[in-house]
Amino acid sequence: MLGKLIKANFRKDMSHMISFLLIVILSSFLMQLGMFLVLGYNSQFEQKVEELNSADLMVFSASYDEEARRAVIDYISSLPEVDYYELVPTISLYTEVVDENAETDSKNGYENVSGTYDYAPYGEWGEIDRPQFVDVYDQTVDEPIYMSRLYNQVLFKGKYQAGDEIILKINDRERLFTVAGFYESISLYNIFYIDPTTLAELNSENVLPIDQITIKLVDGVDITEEYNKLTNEFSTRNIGSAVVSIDEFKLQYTQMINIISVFLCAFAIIITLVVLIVIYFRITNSIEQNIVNIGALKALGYTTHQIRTAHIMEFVITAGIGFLVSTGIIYAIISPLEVALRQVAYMSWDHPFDPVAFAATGIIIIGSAFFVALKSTKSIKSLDPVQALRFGLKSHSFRRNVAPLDTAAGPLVWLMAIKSSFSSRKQNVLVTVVMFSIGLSLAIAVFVGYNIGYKPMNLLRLLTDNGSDIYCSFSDENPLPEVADLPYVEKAWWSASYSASYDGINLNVDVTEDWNYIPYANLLEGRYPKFDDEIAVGKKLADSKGIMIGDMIMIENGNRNFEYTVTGFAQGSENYGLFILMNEDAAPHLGYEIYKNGINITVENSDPVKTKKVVESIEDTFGGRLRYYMDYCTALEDGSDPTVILARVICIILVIVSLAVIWLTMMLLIKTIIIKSQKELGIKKALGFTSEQLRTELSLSMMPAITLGIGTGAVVGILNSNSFLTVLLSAYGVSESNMEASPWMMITVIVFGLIVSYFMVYALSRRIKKISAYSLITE
Amino acid sequence: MQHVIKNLDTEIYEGDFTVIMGSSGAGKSTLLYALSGMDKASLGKVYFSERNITGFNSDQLAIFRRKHCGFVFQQVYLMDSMSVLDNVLTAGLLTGQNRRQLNAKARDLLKQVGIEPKLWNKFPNQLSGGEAQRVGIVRAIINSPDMVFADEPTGALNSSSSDQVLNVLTEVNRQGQSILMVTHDMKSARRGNRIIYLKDGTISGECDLGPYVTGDRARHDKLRAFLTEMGW
Repeated sequence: MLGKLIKANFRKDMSHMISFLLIVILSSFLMQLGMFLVLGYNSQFEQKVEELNSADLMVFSASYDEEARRAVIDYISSLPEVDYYELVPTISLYTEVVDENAETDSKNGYENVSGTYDYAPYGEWGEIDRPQFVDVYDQTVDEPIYMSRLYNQVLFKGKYQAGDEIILKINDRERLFTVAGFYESISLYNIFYIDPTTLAELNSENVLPIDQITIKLVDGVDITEEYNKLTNEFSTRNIGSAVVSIDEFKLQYTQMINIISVFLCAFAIIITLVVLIVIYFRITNSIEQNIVNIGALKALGYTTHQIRTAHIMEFVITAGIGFLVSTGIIYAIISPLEVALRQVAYMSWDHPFDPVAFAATGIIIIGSAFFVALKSTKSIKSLDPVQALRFGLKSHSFRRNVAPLDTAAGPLVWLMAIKSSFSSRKQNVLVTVVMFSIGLSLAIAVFVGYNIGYKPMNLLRLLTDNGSDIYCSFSDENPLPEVADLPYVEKAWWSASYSASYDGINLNVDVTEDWNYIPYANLLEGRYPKFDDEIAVGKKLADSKGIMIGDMIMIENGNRNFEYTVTGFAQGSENYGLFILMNEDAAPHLGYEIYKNGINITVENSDPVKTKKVVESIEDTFGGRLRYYMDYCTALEDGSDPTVILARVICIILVIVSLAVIWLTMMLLIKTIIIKSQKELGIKKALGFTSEQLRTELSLSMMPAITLGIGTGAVVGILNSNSFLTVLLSAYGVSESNMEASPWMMITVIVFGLIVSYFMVYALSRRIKKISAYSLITE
Repeated sequence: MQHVIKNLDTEIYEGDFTVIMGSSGAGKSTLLYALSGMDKASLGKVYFSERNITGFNSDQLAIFRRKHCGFVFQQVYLMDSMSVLDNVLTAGLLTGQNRRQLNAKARDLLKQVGIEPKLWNKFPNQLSGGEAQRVGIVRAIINSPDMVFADEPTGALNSSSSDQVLNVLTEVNRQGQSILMVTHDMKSARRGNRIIYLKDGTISGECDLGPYVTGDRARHDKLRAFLTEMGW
């Protein structure tokens, strides 16, 4: 009996339920995919840590002095918190990757992969973080080289395949290697494994040995505490070592995926909200339209419970089908998606079925559909069959005559539209809430699209503490005056980076002549240092240590220390926000020897064309004195940066999904409106209204609610977009995003939303054409 | 395909109060709506003031209707979301009439049919059936159309309301308004001056009653005899 009722409901509401199903698929897809990725990659990381027996801490100890390196190992071995450790001896060689197609002698740091890289003999690895080979060339080659998948992505933008040849210029001699395979390793991804004989040939007295020490701590030892302890100790003893914790590695591997997942889930929540409103709207309208049928069913002996259950099940079953279809789609596309995500995740992921993401999404989607359907069918309970059969439900009281035609001025269609727009509060609430969600999403899309996709320098300026367009490294001692005089150079300043510690925390120390001169410096509170006993500190550091402006804090560098006054808080991703900024005259207190050969440049309007001209001028002026340059502006603007690509993809997805949600919701809404207003539309046609007039009237009548919704959504979205980004980027050291969030963005969203919505409603209202005046009489 | 109306060739004259009668399923309403451009005839031609409206598309027909036709329906079909005055003005404004003159005309006509000003801002669900139908008639004549098409205008009304509605229709016809009415009610049919009787989609007879005069017994008898002859 109940089954028949459910079937009958489906038959009656088929076209509505198809629209509803598509929205459910969309929300369920985004929600489950977001959860799937975040849970999958994070658990994959943990699994890899287990599988590869990854180190809790990693120490890089670089020194020509064997005694010094020995001292590091001795210290580590003396710690009771260390369970066991392994030493991976590598040698650091200045290497240039020779690209036969590239411009010779290019100084472009992005084009030229050059620098000191670590080499180790193939096959000689320990038990901690043993490399896991994922793609190995199936033929034997003369000079094999194995690199990590992360290096292939980060250094070479994923251009090498197993079996490719690679020419490396090491110690001024070009050598032809064949990429024999790629490996995954959490902490030892920075090693090129080569044949032991070749490595022996390359090694000499002048080569810098680097001990890479992988440490497993005793169970229960706090990794961060131990990290700070080691950092502090090496800093105090002035040993050239760097310590990295597993948490930093985790951030590197999973942060980008986490950001994508937050976007997906946030958007899925918005669409789920739309789904729930749609359920409420559909059920209440369905009850109004079928009130006589419901009365008849009650008269026939169906219980209220059965009638309600039939309505509820219609939506729960559809939500369930949508959820299952979305799950199918996710598992169908996950393989190619996983390959694409390797560019930002640097590790492969087996993407097994995730019961948690599956169950959580199912419970949220189906559970909320059930709950809202249950609430929406409440009115059936109090419905008397006789009343239902004779009178139906009075849903409109029409006590207010909006825009009376005898006094209101304006074209008839506009006046009719105003009347219609005030005739259904429920419909207006639905449209307003849906369009609010769309406004919010589009606002975020415009914000992210403009600041990261279109003007990626804005992101760079948020993530760094100085935000230059170009960085150049010179062999000259003081190249600044010459650089500053070049055409199109807006500002130029030198900067140098050092390390220090505060209260056991390893810090970056960024020094320049005067921080007040830097154009895009990221000061959040207070002021930059002016005197030799002042510093500004990273907001993350201040928050973690409870530092206030005006506090005096003791900064240590080896056996030197000095108490500085904190004048302000800055932000940047350097050392994940753990840094301090000081002027040149404050540096000697910590014993730093200042090098002024690293020059930062901002170009007029950050114009990529002018930036290229500045680079050309620098190359012409300095010739061989220029070591290399990093043209951030061009590199980011050309769109090859994974973050920029990701931002653009997210924006496109946000816009497409927003449009799909508008289309599907409006489709459902307009079908309902047309069915509900069939009589009135018939009367109007009989009186002589054309289909075009009625479609225009319907489209215009929805504009007030659309404007209110999209306008509020755009304003709320733009006003909160920086807060949203702050949450997303907090792990990168961002405490307060301050990217451009202008009124023009709100206006763009509103105008775009209104135009698109109007034309969508107009297009969807074509069903009005099918309504004939005659059908009114014959119905 | 079965034709509802066949072999039918007739003319409806300006100024007449023409009544179409016939048994159920004879094709009365079909004929009325085909003549008014509300429905499209699948075969044959309809000339309205010498214009062939048969080939018009739905929008052309809509524009034609708003200018040349007025409709009075059995179910009244006022727009529930609009006040009495707005229901009337909507039809007038659609033809682009001057708002001020139209407003005055609507108020005047409403008064003429006995709709008091206190009802003008009420909504249709606040009116009685007779009041609503009289508003429907004002809406139909607000544009002074060439023809008012009335489909069983008293079919859903009680006796007293029916008389009021018929009196209004008779009065507007006296003022020169052409009316074509479908009815199966003899009392309503008596108001017409020309009766067309339809049987199985064809005209089986016509009767000229002459102008309506209240209490004219002979007229009543003539109609009765005609209908009897037609097998009604």
